[in-house]
Order: sequence, then structure tokens, then C-alpha cells
Amino acid sequence: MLDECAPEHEWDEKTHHYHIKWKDKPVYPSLPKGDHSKRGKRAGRAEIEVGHVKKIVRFLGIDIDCANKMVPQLNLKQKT
Amino acid sequence: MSQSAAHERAYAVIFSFHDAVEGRGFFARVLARGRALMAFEDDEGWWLYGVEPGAIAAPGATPREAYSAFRQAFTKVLFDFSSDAESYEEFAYRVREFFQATDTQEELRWQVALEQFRTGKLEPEESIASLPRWKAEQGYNVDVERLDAKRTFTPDANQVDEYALPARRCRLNPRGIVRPNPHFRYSRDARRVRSRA
Repeated sequence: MLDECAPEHEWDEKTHHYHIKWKDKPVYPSLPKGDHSKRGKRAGRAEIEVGHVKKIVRFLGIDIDCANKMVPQLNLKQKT
Repeated sequence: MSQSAAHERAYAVIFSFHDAVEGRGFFARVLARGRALMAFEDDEGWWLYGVEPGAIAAPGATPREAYSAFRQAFTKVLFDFSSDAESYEEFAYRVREFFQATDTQEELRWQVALEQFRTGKLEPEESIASLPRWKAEQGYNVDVERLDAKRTFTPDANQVDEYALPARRCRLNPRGIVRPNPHFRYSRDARRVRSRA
């Protein structure tokens, strides 16, 4: 989703979380390590939960249509 | 009306966290009074979404579980900052930057939830209704203090982590002083204290 909707974003793996940086937005420093990390894979952790993705979309101001298209279960609604 | 907030099962909450963090050559205390939205998501259970700070969220099967996960995530964010920071100043800067990054969309939902709660449109379930009530108008902030430079310590600085619902209503009197709602016991107690004085 980030590759498609937040091009040129940057991931940085820390001890506890991933840090995500996109454009001039503040860093998102609290994405839990899911199946993307080696340690997470070994521990058999679930993939990143939908709520975290929703939060990232809202916080970073990612295009909602794009996010919904990439992750349909988000079901985010446009601000009116 | 923004989003589906009018019928959302979501509650505005306020929290107070107290962390002690070790870093490279420093020991710091972080005191945070922030706000978050406790929302029930269909199929996903409860989520506590940060408003101030905005860049944090955590789930749980119950509101209490979501709060515990959120609390732990908050501490882990601080620990990641301390691992990266080359100095206390850098750590303090990162913490303040994190806290001050408000989620503006979440803030709108928080305000709607606050209004719904205060007008009685949303009756909280028991696990939420039993939370203490704090003034929502008191402001939100983070305080980072370097402890290894301190010479004196006192037990008065100890604080318990907690989360709360906003008090129903605060009003401004003509002098602009915030007074609590007179229908609440807190204010009756406060009046008693004043009359004794």
C-alpha cells in the first residue's frame, strides 16, 4: 500500500518499531514489527493489523481512494 | 457530519503517562498528558488511536486491553528514540516532536466523540463509564526532564499511569476562570473546601 500510495516513503527498522517517513510529514514511529521483520517471522507474529494501516493513512495524509484500492478492508471514508 | 462519526462507538479519552528512560550518558523522565480516541472497529475490536501524540495506535479485545497495548507502545517509542539519540538534547527533541505531531483527522473524531459523550448521545459501556473524569480543557503536553543532573529527589514526583474520560462540561465565568460543572461531586467538594477556607 505504501509503495503505491506513498511513493518514496522511507522505512527504518528500530529495536521495537518501524519508523516511516514520507514527504515533509512527521515521522510515524510506532508501526509494530509484523511479518516483515526476521524476528517477527521467527515469532510467527500476525501481519500488520488494519487499524495500524488506517492510522498511518490518516496521520500521513495518504490518499484515501488509493489506500482503499490497495487494502479494501480499510473501508476508509473521505472527509467531507 | 464528518465520516460516520455521528454513530461511531468512540470515546474521547485523556491519559497521563510517566516514563523513566535511560540513554547514552543520560537518564530522563518523560511526563505526558495526552488524548486519544477509544473506538470500536467492526471485526477488529477496540482500538486506541492517538490524537496528541497522533502517530500511535494499539488494539485490544476490550478497552482496557487496548489501553495496555497503547501504553506499552508509547514506552517502546521512547525506547527507540533513546537508542537512536546521541545526547539527551536529541532525545528530548525527538520526544517533543513526536508528542506535538497531532493527528488532525483524529482530532475531529475526538471532538465529535467528546460532544456526543457530553450531550449524552452515547452511553458508555460499563468498562468505560467507570473511568475517572478529568477536565478536557486543561491542555495537553509533554515534559522531558533530565534526572541524572538532579541533586535532590522527592517522592512527590512519583505518578501513577492512568486514563480517564473528559469531565462533562467546564464553563467560563465572566472573569474567564474555568469552573467545573456544579452537578458533579468534584465541584461540591471544591465548594465545601472553599467555604471552609
